Amino acid sequence: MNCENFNDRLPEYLDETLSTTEQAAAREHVQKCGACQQAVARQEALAKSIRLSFNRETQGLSLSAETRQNILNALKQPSLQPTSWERLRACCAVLWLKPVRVGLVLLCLLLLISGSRFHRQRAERSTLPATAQAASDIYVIDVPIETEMHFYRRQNNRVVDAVVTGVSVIDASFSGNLSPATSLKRHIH
Amino acid sequence: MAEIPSCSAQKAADSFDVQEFIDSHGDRLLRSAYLLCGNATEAQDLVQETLIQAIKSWRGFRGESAPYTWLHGILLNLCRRYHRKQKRLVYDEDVVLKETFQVDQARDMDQDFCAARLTKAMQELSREHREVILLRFYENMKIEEIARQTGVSSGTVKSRLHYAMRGLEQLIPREMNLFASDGTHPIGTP
Repeated sequence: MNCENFNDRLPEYLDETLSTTEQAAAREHVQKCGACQQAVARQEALAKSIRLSFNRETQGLSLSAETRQNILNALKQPSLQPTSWERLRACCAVLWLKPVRVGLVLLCLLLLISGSRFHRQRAERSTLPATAQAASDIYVIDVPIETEMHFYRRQNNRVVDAVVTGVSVIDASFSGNLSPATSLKRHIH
Repeated sequence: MAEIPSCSAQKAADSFDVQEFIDSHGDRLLRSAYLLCGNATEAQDLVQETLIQAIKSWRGFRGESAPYTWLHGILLNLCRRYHRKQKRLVYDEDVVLKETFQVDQARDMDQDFCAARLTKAMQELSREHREVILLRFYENMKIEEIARQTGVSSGTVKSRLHYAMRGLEQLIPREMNLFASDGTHPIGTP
């Protein structure tokens, strides 16, 4: 350990709170180093001097009888901190004394309840399955309907050629309250 | 035997004798408070408040430190609050201090003067430096204990101690030889 390290650890060395190894190294260093011996002596003398000065300055001080009595009196009084129940009761008392506040609170409660009901109803509606909703309004079916198309080639108002092709309608939509079967029949016919 | 406090404070005070508690810690706490705030009347008020708070919250004391250390922590907090309030007051304290020192300088360099001069110099330090000097030299606390008590690291305590000592060195007259470089005992030390 060198002088710089020792000075850094001087307060802990005096407190004897260094690790065993560090304390031993510091003790070994201070035994060899005159400057660090002087630093230790200076610190100890200074601490002693300050302690003595403080003791001398405060030696005549003691708690006055008035202070002692004040402490006991303060402890006799009920706690200034209200309990939760007391706070709640005080809050209720204030509310009952002020009808406007009571009205406002009731209005707020009413709005809160009606708002929550409305929200709940909307939520219920939105959770209905899509297929069920579709069942009451529009039917979307995916039934291929085979049909035939005839193409005629004419020359001087005479049909000279005819082509028949098969086409299919991929989907069809129907609206109204009719059952899908009826609706389908109508379109097909 | 002291009268046992009633109502809610009585519950807190059941486990110990209030009068004995005040006797054990009151005076020592008062001296510490005086060194912190530099005013005997304020010190009485601070200790009064500290003891009332401590007795009322005695059940909250978990015994992790000595009762006096716990009390001293409450005192430090109250002193900090007191100094914050003092800063808001507008009056020229410096004039009062200078006048006092002029009178004091006429006195002999005796031990009482040294003690008074040191105490006054303490009041000129910052709150943090004053606390660390008090805890180190009056309460004889180790660096680690001061760190716990003030809620800062050991490194910060060492740094504050170093600068606080430098501050005192500048405030204390050289004639008092308090910071003698040769390790000899300063004036006022037997």
